[in-house]
Amino acid sequence: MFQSKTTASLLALSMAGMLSACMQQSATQPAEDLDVSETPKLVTLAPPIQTRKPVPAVSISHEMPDAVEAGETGTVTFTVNEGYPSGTLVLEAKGGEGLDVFGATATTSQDMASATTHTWQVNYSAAEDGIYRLYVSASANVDETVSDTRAYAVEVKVGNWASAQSKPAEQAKMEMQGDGEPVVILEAEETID
Amino acid sequence: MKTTYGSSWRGAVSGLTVALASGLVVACGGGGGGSSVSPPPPPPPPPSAPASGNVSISGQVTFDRVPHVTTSSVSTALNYAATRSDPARGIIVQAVDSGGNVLASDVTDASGNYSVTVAASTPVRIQARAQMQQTAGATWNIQVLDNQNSFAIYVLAGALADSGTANSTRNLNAASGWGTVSYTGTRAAAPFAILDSIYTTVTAIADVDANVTFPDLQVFWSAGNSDNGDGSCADAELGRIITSSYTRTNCLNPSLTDFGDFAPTILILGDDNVDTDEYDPSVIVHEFGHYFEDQLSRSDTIGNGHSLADRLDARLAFGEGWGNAFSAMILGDPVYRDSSGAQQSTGFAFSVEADLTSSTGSRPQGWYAEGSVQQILYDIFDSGVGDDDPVSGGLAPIYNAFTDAAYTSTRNFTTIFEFANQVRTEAGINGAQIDGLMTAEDIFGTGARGVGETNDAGLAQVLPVYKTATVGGGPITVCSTNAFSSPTGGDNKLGVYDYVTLTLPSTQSINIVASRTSGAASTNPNFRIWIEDRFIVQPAVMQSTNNATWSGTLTAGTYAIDFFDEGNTEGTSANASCFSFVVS
Repeated sequence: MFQSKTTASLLALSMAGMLSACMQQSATQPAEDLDVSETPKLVTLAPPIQTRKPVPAVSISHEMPDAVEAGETGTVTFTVNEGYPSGTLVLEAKGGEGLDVFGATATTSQDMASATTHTWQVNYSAAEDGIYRLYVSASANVDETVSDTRAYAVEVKVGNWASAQSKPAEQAKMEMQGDGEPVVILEAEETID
Repeated sequence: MKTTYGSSWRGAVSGLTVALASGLVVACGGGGGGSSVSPPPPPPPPPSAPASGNVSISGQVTFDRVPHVTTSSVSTALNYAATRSDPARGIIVQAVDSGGNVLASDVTDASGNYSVTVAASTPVRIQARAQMQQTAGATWNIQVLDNQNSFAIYVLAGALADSGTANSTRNLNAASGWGTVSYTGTRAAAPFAILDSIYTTVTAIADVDANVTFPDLQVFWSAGNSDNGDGSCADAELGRIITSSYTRTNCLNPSLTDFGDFAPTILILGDDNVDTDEYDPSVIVHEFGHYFEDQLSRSDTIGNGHSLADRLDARLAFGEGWGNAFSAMILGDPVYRDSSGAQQSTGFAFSVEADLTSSTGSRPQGWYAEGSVQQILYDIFDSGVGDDDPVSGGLAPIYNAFTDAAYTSTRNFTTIFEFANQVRTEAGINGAQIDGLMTAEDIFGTGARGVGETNDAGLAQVLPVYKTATVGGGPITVCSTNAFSSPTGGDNKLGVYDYVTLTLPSTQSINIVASRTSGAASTNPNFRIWIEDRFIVQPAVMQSTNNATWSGTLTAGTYAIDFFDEGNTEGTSANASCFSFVVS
């Protein structure tokens, strides 16, 4: 059984659930309509959209097994789409704490002039059950003026990952102010004279 | 003598030490970070104690600033070895008692200094809110909230310590949390680094407009903010924010349904070893540029993914080019830097001053390219060393154009054409020189609608920029295509939307019919009739396969209409189709 996931940039294609409600929903817009004095018709403030930071012309998606047993080798298949006419695409993978990424697959270079879609398989294993992060980066090296890197991470599951993950995550230190306002406490480095 | 308190995240505050101001020197735990940080500059000496039984507590609030490596125009790595303490400017500092009740407050000055007066011999904690507020002259109220913890505000807290009987000094520093090769402590500096980039921005705008009123802005940042999710508030609470972005949300007040009441919101990534943006001022100011457009000007951008290699919808190209150029203007550096990857050691950089087409053929120029827009806008702004164009306008004409009622109330879409048409009327701007900047970017159309444009990006159907419809004037052809789909998506690229301008000399009941004439066999056409930055939702456009119709009454005036095939905007299919568009 395989899971698949697409990078954020490609998710733009199917974001019906976004808080920045899709503009295409104009005919069924749930927003409160507003009267505009100059017209008898009803108009609405355009729904908020999400304006995103610029990114390299690179997207990364992946497919991977649902889980592998501890000590077994799993393989993630990455698909990298890029929009550069030439140059070298350098792909690198690194395991997070407890995850080994091994073999010649951890780093590879591909020619961007010959294709815009590149597939890449990365092998991994972990000695203990759990969920681990596998970090990858795709660097489009065109010339001395263009070296664009996009980073990406996937979570791989090993063994009885659910129970291994049952330990509670570290929680932020929350505190209630005198007026009832909840705040997240960040302890300062403080000097007092 | 000096007392220094550590800053471990875990459990320290609940057991905050009550200490006398004349305590002993204690080793600083440092929260796992800040080992390479130089000490903050000494604060001004405390004033003499007032006679009323009160004492003054003053000091400086700083945060760890991690700069970029800047050895070249493509350097993007964060340089942790060069971490420095910068003043936390314009933020709210409070003296609170053991119950969190505010006893006194102040706002730090441009050096991060504050001063509060409290009762003598009282347990007091000094805390700095991740909130910038100014209530006179130029006004703003900007907070950084933890979207993974009930959207609560971050507070940098000192120890609960006795105020003593004499004036005293308490300096607070927010540590980066960086150890030797990774984050090992709380990233307390992040909210304040974000605010500092915004402080630089709002004060630069205030220099142009001393009475500007910035609507309240909230920034969501969490160390868990990663580049996945669907953008919903529920996902934001899990740290799944898609990417650093600007939008309007009702996350803090889900009962809101009127988009006009949604709160302006910037979301910032915090996923270390993948993508963090708290130390990427270019990203923060870029997103603030979108907030500026949305809240103080007018933005018709359609948002979502984009890159310099893309041929974009002209509204999106303008908004993103503006964001890139604005960050360069505010930060005084034409190079946009965005760190990412392992140890934040790689990333993405470009110069808004560079002709990006010179060596990398995939980066287009034209009215649909953010690279062209950023270069034009930055060229209007810049002057002095490195300025390679005849325009040296500074920020004022750009700000004035953006906020001019003629621009914000335009009945066209906000594109480079509309902006150029406005900025050329501003004081100190020579229209012929603006034309020169446009032509240099292969933009040849004139006026607010780009009449006569000849740059079609290789696809003839995208011209003219606006098709002109008239009542009873017969059919015109409109098209929708995802021909320029790219790795950043296909829903927002050039050609997906076709623009139509319609002028009615008097109030009229009209019918609009769009019918497929060529291309994909099954299409789902739609269109929106815009009145400035709002569009008509009732009567609704009636849709059926290959057809869309609308009937209603419109008052005299000009309307912008964007036509599209939902197969392209929703990604349900990849269509290239044309339609007859008839107004009767």
